[in-house]
Amino acid sequence: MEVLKVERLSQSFGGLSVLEDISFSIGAAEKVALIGPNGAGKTTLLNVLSGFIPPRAGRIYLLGNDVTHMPSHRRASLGLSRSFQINTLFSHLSLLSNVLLAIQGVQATRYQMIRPITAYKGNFDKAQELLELVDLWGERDSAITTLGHGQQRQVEIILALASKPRLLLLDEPSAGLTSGETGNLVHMIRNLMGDSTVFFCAHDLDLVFSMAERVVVLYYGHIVAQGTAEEIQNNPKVREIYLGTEK
Amino acid sequence: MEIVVINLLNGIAYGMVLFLIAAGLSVILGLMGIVNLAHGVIFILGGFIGLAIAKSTGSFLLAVLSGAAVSGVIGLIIERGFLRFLYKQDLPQVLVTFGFVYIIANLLLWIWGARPRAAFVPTYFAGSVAIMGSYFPTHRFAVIAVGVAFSLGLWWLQEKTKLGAIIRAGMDNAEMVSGLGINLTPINIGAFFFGSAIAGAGCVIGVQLFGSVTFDAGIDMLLVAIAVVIVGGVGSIQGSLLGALLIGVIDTFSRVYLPVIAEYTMYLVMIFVLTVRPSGLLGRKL
Amino acid sequence: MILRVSKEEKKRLIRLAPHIFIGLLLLTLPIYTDLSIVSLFTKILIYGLLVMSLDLLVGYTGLLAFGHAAFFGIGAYTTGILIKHYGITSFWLSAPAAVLMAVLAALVFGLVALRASAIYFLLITLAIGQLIHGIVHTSARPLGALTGGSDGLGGIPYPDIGFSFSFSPNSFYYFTFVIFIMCALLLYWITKSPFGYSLQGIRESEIRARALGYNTWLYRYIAFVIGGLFAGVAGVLYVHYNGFISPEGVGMGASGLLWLMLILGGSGTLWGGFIGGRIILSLQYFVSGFTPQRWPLILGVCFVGIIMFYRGGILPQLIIFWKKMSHDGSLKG
Repeated sequence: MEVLKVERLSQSFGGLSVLEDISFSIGAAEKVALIGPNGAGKTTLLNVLSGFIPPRAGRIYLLGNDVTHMPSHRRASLGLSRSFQINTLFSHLSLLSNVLLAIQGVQATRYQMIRPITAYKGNFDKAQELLELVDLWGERDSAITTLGHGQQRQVEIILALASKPRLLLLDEPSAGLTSGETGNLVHMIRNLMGDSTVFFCAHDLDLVFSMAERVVVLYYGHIVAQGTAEEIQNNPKVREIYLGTEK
Repeated sequence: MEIVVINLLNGIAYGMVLFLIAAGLSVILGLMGIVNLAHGVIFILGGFIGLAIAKSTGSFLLAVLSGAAVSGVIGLIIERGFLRFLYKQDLPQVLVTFGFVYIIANLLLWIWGARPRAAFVPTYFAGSVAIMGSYFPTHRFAVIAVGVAFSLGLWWLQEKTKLGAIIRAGMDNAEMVSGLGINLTPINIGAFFFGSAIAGAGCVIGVQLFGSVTFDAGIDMLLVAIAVVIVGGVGSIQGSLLGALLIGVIDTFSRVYLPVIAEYTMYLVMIFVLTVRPSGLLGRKL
Repeated sequence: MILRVSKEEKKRLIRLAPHIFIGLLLLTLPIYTDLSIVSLFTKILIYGLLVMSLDLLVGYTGLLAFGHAAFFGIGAYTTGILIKHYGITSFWLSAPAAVLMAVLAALVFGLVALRASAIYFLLITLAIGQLIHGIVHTSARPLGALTGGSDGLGGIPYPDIGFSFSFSPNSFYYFTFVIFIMCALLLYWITKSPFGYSLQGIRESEIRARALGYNTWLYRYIAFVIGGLFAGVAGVLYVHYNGFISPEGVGMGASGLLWLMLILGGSGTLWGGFIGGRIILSLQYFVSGFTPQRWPLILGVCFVGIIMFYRGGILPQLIIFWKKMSHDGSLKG
């Protein structure tokens, strides 16, 4: 069964069609990239997939469940997780609290009102594991706002990974990072993602081809090409689109 | 039957006064995102000043102008002296204006005492007009006329002038407007001043409808104004007019026919509208 | 023999010390002060609970609830009406009924109010507060007869808890103190629980919370109802304390006073509200001694002054001080 199946998805803003008849699917443990020029609709697609914008038409199936009109938080319970293009963190809470909340988000105990959060040792251990993997355990009590931008970006991704999602959506993970920071980030993602299914969109083609096995190309709301990384790199249409924009 | 017509006219007159208060509140909210909770007491303040001037000079026109001027100035002081320093911090701004509610209301009490200030009706508006066998005070026609004139003026400003276009754009997307090189600050200040001034004038003109005005009526008037703004939709002048007339009429009729809910009818209307159509009847989607 | 206290335990003691100290102070109050001070502190405890319930909404969940006094009023008025008009004098009946009314009101109004966001939420909760104010203020029958209209409802005695026990101001103070401690403890546990932390996350970033699996609407709704519940409890205590409740305690003026207490003390800290309330009420007590009519003016000036210059509140400064002393502040894993 595919982890994600998208059928004839369409979305428009006002009269402007942003996504047109999008269909594709992603299998378990696949790492798939979504590329396309600015304004092609990449972030919109991720927003529709994660439930922040309803589609105008089409269907979305997550692990066989029709989630087309399901609210975001319920998709998370089914195993969908995402990161945002702009850091969307719990700014004034500590790093540890951020990670705990991310781990807790899919647990029933998140509604528990009487026992303190410190009683859930399992989650603390998981949080420690995650933060130690990226060398941020020492900063666990710092408020997010005190961390550097590169670190915050790492946290942005960690939060999405904390709940061990089945499908991970990453929206421009390296946005705003220097190439050095990007390298670190890719390293971190590859360490943490394990055999999760990952669907991410990015501008940086180096990033794309170092992480993805398959690539989907979006051009003004339409999928114009799909294939392995190699196929896409050699696809003449794709080169035409990117001529002058990227390498 | 004539009772219904009289009540309808009363409701419309009341609605016009509400419009005068609400228009300022709505524009300020739409342009600057500030809920000026002190707007109600500024309204009352204008009335107090105006009535005092009327009493000593006998001139209604002077009363209206002075009420408007003082209200406008106070609004200006609040904005320039305090709100300006809390730029883009919505909640603190709202809270500061709330503090001024206490300050101004208590100052009114201190200076003028707790006795209600009686309305002043100029001789040229005295008397009443016969309508279908009943009598309708001439002054209230004047109120309606002022309201209509004001709405037309505002409509013309909004639709037919460059300033109006800038204001409308400012309400939609202030960043874009400043990005285009247009300085919104004087416009914001002007809106604050005129919004407050109109409210002050509105009180002087409309006091006759209430018979008198007391120092603590500021909060009630604020809430009616808020109800009007919400029902009509934030930032929409036409919405404020519609909301004001609607609430004015509904409130008047409920006082006559359903006194048990009369005191809070408009809150019910407001809650109803917010539930069914959160952006208000004619509002922009916020 | 020297009692060795481990460093861990020493830290814990330092952390708890202020609470223990204040607790002892409050406990022994009637012994060394006169009745008017005991009365003041009863009021402080009641308002402390009320402001803490507001803090759950404002400081923790980020809900700008501006009509919170309404639930307080519902608790107070229901108690008063049951006792005076329906002869239900037993505390064990009237109090739960009153709190239940407050909860029901919160359940209903929460549905309406939570359709709105941020500033609109503020306005609609303000409207709801005024709605309740209007209901208890109107003199039209049949409501007016029940609520006493603008005159309010008076002649309400201390609670009848049975066992032929009659309250005195001192014993009622302890009664209030016990209930305050119980409720404050509950609120404290809630803020330290997974639910409480989730509320804070939702306050910080609603979008992120949703993406992580939190049903943000439901959390806010539950928080709103819990806030209403404890406000109702405060209302019950108040009407027994004061013997009298009027519409002034229900409207925007009352809600605004709560906000001032909250901001003065520092929101998001629970105890901040208590301290803020203590300061404001003590100030009011003091000022009423020589210019009661100018109290709203002074209140307004304080309000504006605090917002303009010192928005963080007093308690966070104190907390920073104590944290330095006990090297605390972290979540212990």
